[in-house]
Amino acid sequence: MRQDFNHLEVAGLACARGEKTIFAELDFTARAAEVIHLQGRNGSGKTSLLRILCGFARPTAGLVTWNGHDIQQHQDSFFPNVGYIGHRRGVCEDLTPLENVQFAGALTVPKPERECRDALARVELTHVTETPARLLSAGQNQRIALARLLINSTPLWCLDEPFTALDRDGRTIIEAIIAEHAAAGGISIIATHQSMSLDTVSVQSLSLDPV
Amino acid sequence: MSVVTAPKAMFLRDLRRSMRRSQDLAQPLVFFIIVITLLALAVGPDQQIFVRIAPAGVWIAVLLATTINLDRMFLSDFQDGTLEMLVLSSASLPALVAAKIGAHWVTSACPQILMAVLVCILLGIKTDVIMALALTLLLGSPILSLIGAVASALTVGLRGGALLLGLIILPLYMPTLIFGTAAISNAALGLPIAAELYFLGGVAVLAASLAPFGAATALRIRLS
Repeated sequence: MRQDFNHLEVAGLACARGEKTIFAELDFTARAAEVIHLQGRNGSGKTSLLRILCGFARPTAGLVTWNGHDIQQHQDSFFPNVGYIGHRRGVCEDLTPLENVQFAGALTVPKPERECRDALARVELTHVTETPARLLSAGQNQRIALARLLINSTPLWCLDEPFTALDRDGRTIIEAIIAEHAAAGGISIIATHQSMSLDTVSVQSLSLDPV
Repeated sequence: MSVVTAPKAMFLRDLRRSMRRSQDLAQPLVFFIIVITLLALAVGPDQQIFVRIAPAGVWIAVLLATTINLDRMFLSDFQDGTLEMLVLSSASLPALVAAKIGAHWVTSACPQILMAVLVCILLGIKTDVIMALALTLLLGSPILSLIGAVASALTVGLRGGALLLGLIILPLYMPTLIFGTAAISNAALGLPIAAELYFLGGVAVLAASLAPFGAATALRIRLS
């Protein structure tokens, strides 16, 4: 699914928590097939920015537009475009990886079981598809969240520290997945302290630290 | 895709999750039984008095058991990040919330209603009164779940949320309690109970049509 026309534009964005300004006057554009690497110290507002870009939170000032439309005013048409993995992964620990992925799929268009198993195979969880997530490790839970992202082919991915708890294999998998997403015309906005090796993709670095 | 696909998946997922957390399923029921037992102990050996007040006691017990269980309705979804997924879903959030309320009612209120009827049968209460109790609970407990859902969504994830929830919700439960127990008193005197049932039915329909929207909006606010 190529969607070359998609773009997310941020203009004059500011975010404050209480009296304290976290960031201000932020401008950037994310175009189709681009990866934005969001960097910054702890507390520089990476998570806050991602939550604003997803439309969960409102910015103090400024505008976020998706293909020219203000996302706050067109939430219903914007939300189905977003895939989000936050610190809270959206994985129910009483359900198995397969059930988690199937449920995530059913929230948009129900997917056949084979497709869900394929997504789990992609993140190398084939051997634990029927084990409740509470018995799996943090890294394996992170992989379930990735599979959940894969099953719904949303054009815009907002990932908050996606490498948390992942081993080296896991890192390689997620880098490959992000590169594939970009190759298919998707946009990824990734907040992480770690460096990413995405050779084939155009990566825009964005630092939230005050200059 | 039909509009009920995603809510149906939500409903089945919540049921499945509840089945795997048997302690969550058992707690409100055990609480309910304990309240009834305490009432019986407090009233003492006079069987006549207990039989007369038991239906009202059952209503109070259902009310309290529902209240202590309400904070769970959205809590685990809030904690594990499922709520964000629901908001981003292409399905409408109020419909998903309605499915969640339905699943919560099935797993928390239904067993209590069955237990209430069983308790009344064991106590040898008149069939008319048991019928009135069952009907008022069937119409009244969805009201409790629906109004409770809005308050539960407003307080999800707050420190001391459970206590705050009780303070918000118990006053709102008064009309339901008054009409539910009024119907039971009427049934005990052999009077018709249609008026109370109509009232409860009307409120249930009103709550069912408004509460999912209110709860969905409250959840959106809690996420921002």
